[in-house]
Amino acid sequence: MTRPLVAIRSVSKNFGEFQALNRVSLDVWAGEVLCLIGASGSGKTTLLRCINQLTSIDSGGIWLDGELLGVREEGGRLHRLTERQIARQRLKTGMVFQRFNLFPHKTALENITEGPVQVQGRKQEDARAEAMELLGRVGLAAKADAYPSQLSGGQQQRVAIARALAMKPMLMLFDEPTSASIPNWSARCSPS
Amino acid sequence: MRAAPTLAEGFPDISGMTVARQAHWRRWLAAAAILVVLAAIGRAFVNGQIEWTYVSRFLTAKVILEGITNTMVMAVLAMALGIVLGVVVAIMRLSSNPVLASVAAGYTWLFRGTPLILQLLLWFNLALVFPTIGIPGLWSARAVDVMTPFLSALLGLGINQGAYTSEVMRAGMLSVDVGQYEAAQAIGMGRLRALRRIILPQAMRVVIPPLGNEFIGMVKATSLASVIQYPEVLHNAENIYYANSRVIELLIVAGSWYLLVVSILTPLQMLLERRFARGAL
Repeated sequence: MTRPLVAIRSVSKNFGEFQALNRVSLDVWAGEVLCLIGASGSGKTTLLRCINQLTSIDSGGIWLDGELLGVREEGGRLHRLTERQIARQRLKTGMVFQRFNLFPHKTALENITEGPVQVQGRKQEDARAEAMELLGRVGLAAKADAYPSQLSGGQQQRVAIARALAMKPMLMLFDEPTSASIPNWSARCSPS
Repeated sequence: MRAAPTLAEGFPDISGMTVARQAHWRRWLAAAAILVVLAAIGRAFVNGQIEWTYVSRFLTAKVILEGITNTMVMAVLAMALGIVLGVVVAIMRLSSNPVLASVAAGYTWLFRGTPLILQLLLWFNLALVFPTIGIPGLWSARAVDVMTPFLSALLGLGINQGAYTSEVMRAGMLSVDVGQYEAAQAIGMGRLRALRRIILPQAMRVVIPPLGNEFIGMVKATSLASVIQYPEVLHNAENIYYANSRVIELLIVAGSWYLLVVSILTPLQMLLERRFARGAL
């Protein structure tokens, strides 16, 4: 492939007076693991949130798989995409939040199957089988029917990873992945 | 390795002893005083001018049973209307669309700001404002025929309840962490699906106790529909005492039914709470 999976060009984001991102540009290539390291408050989370459009950017552009995110260019001007189009673009990225944000009213298994069944319209039994396989890969097959409140922080994070992977994204975004670190997670989670 | 340390002297072994029961004489005294007061009140009612035979005779009279049935039908339907309106209005209120948010705020302001009995009278007398109502060219009818006591009571109680329920629902939705909405978005959900699948089920947990309150209030508020001739239990009890002048006896009959219904509702609320507490510690 000759183009990067993610291309970020001159992205800026302000929260009121505070400038979180100042003309950030970078490339991420398929298969690459890129770590953003910096002091707290330096904009790492903001950049991740911009990539999956939970935060809108003020200027610049992000291309994912060659597609400009959030806006479309027409007649020399940018037009905001509809919510439905943004939701479709978001499917290409998986996000593991710093606080995991598992759905507390659903079991580990239901957390993982929710997206594939509700959003991608996959069959319940297929999604369940795949979710069980993912839970096995993160070492939590025995916790399929546990609610998030019954899991430790590290276990919750692994369910969150499985939930993101179940959508088969092209890009995984991890916010503070070491906050509940799992030894050797990459060996277990990356497609073999 | 060190030898096991010897324990200090002067701390006897009390592990075999039991804790003595306290006397609680003040509790006994208070209970006795309350029993005396209750007995005095009970005696007053027994000796007062109440014909208890009338109470027991009318408690299960056909008209009274029809009345309490109508009360419950109205309470359930009006509450259902109130919850539907409440959810819709709460979502509108939290929407980023300023038109929807203002309409929702205006609705709550109007229907919370005027007395319920006045709203019921307005719905019932709608024919004075609009003699005929309908959709031009498609359907029309005389307002007097449409605004029956039943429909007036349903609209009056339900729309009023919607204004209160919307605030309860809004509180419930605000209580759900914003990260839940973001996680739903991150797996590709749109706004409405995230609300239905992720936000509302979690809001329900918070919302059931106040909604239980509202429903109990609704059961009793249906009695206001007696002023627009809806045949609920108080209206029917009144009709009986207009004929036989046993005012207090029939008010006790109606009151007993309200108490019974409310007593049944409380354990039902517990069951609902347990249903929506899934995953909570």
